[in-house]
Amino acid sequence: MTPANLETYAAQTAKLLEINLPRGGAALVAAQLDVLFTHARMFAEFDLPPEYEPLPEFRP
Amino acid sequence: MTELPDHGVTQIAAAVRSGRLTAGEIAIAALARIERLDNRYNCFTRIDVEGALKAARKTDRAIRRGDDPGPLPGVTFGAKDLFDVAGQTTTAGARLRAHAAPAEEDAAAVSSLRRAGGTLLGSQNMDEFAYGFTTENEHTGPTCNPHDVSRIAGGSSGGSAAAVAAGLCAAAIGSDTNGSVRVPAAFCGVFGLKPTFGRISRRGAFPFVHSLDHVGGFARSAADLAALYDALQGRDARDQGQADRDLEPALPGINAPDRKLRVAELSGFFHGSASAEVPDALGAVADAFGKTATVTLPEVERARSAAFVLSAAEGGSLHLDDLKKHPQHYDHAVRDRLIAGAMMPSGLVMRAQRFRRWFRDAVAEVFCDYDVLLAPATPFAAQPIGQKTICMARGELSVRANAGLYTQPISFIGLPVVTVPLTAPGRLPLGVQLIGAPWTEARLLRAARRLEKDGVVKARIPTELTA
Repeated sequence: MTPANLETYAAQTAKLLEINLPRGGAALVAAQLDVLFTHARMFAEFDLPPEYEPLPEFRP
Repeated sequence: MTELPDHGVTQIAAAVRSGRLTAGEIAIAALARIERLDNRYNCFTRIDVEGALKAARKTDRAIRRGDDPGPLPGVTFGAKDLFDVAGQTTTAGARLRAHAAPAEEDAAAVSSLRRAGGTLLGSQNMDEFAYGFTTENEHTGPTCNPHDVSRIAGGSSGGSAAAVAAGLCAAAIGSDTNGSVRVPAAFCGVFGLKPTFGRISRRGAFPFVHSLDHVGGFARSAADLAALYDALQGRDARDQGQADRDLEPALPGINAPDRKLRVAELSGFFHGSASAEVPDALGAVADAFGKTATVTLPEVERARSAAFVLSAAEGGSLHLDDLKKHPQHYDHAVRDRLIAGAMMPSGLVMRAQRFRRWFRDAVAEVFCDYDVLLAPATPFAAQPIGQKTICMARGELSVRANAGLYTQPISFIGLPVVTVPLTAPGRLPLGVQLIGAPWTEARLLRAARRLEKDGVVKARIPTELTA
């Protein structure tokens, strides 16, 4: 997503979640979203075998 | 009363049990030291003088009566300010919680240590809501590193690690979601334990990320850490997240040799640190074990990323109501990260949890061949307070987000870790992670003790503080 798209996503999702972002807040949140989506791409691109479903209660 | 900064957990327990010192004398000495020094370090957010003296008197009465005072009589400890202490407000380092209702009862970990005869001195500074690695708290101020007060103590359990490093208390309890025990232990030059996920009850500890939170602790020797760990163990029927494990005491066998301990150094992702001192520290520990192997964990960078996303998403979800009502009460950096986390699509969060299972199974195979894996605790030593970024092989990175670069992938799958300190006069401490298969805390503590006996690792109270 482009920075502008991320900022729009941040602003619209904040409305949906009923979070009042201050002036300029959407850009700050968008910067954080950029970091998170970059990390998310790292594992989302991994070819995960289908048997690995999340456990309801994690155990190591 | 003479201060007793170098008295550790086992030393205090032995002295009080034998009658050489009373718990009251120990508590008064510790409180005097805190009074004298903590304005330099800002380790404590609340000091409970009355409560500490009352607890110490109770221990002394038990000893006079000939009753068993517990395994840690008179041992002074502090608790990160996210553990409930009966009658006190648990702030979790947040202005938002400054006026929250006082806790009705102690957190399980606090209760365990009190039952063991320990003396709680107070609550300790932390990153707001445990979301950070620096303990530069916008509301309570930064905790300063006892080895160089211009530098961070690490976080998020920074007050606890620094208090142990400065000899203000013999031990402390903290929490570790992504590295919040291991990072400050490394920066402050003390021993730190993050047990296996589910080992220690989390009841009464203010949560950050339910699926990643661990309770752990700090001490100035491997034996002291083992004694602390043993007192924290035990099944808590009121913590549904705790695993059903029997007690596995570590202290009784702490000096037993582990013949043919299979040790390997982690490579790849765990290299590329900001300074040459980090691989040197790792090399010193590896050499002491006679390490012969190097292992690369599969997909470890993806694991770190998945932990990063899970933390933001679960943390954001936990705080959503308060982010709606009181966003102005949050530290700005924490608020924006939590809001962004709350906006993460559920499909990605589920994917992170699925990847977590895959990574757990992949790493489990490595433990078929090795007992202990070695990795640096942090990619750099403690940075100056206020410094935002650091140059690494990967580029210029945020200190606050990347101090836990090497700890995050490990806690992601709940493995037990003992962080051992490498300290030397005139140099900043560094830490090395001893990582084991699930439920092997006792073995890791024995390995740490072996390194300590060989003179490779040592917690060192700064010389000027021992005078």
